[in-house]
Amino acid sequence: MNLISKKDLLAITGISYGQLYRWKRERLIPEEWFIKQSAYTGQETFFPREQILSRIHSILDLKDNYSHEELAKMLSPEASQSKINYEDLNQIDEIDKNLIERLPEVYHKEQYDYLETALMIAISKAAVTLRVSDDEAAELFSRSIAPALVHKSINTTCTIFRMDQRLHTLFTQSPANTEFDSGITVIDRIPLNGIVDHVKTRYISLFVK
Amino acid sequence: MRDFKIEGLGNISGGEFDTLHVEGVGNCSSNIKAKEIKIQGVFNCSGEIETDSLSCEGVANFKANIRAKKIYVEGVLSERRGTKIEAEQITCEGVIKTGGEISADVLNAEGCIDADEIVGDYIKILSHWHKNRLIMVLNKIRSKVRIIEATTIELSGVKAETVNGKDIKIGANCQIDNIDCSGILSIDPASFVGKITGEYTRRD
Repeated sequence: MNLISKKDLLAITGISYGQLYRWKRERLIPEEWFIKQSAYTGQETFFPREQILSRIHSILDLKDNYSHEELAKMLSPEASQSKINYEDLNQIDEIDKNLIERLPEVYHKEQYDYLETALMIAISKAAVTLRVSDDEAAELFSRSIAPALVHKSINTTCTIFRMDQRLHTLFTQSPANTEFDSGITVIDRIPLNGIVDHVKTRYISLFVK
Repeated sequence: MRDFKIEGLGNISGGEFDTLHVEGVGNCSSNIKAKEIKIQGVFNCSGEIETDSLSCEGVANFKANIRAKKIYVEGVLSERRGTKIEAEQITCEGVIKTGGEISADVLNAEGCIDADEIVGDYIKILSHWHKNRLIMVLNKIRSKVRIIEATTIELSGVKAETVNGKDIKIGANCQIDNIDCSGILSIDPASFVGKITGEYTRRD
């Protein structure tokens, strides 16, 4: 797992100890992200790097426009009840337009929640990186959606890997560390809550209750 | 919601209150949610506390998390089982004892604190002899905290393993094993400090 120490986190983001602990108290940062490990000075706290950096940037972006209570609701680890209409998915730049076109065939719904939207972005990102065909991306999304929704939480990491020339996904509760044998090539590990934070920061007006 | 007062000996099973006032000896077996909790006698509670204001001028023993906007302690507040005390502001002129974490934006203590961790924005603990006799007896042992971490820290009469912060002022009679400071650090010559790390400016 890629971790960042508390000291480095404060230095990189420019936030203070006071802000970090206030946000923890206000449940804007999940307690399970504070990972305590022994160090030569006694004990040091580490965080899952991508998740905490994404979360802090989201808080810094949103804190002037929303109260702490609103922020806590928006950033809570449980999947939000808000949904986006199918037609509005086109306004999210990070989702591959071809995947949106194929959605009615592979996973037809009138509205999609944050977790489903995050998975579309994760698959779109992988499709661009790996230059996979539209069919393969749509099929991967179709196979992935059911296991992704099992956790019922955005606090999930999506591991994309290739086995026997075929792409697969694995969903684990974050932060999690999964190791595969040498016959499997891990393409990417994507924390879905990082994507959801980003979507909420940029596109919250598209989501309705 | 309602006001509730325990004047003699009373047991409650938790619940929601406007004001909960304990003047005698009260016991509570479950969670309490209240706008204000005022303890002037002895109160034992095994449930969680959520309140705007918790004031303890007597003796309070808790066994679960406390979450408050303001906490004022003039007596003795103890928490067992290593749970958490969370508040925006804590003022302590008495004694706080917990095996767990205290998290507050502002902690201002002139009494004695015994805790595993204290974290927040502004932490000031000045443990010294006090006019109050109870505090004098208990304060023979200075405040003991394993880790203190805050943006601004001011200590005297404190024993700690680790103190991490931006601006740190170590007053008299402290014993600190490790300090990590990223701003201004001052240390009273009457204190002992072990290892110091960080990019700090010394101003004694």
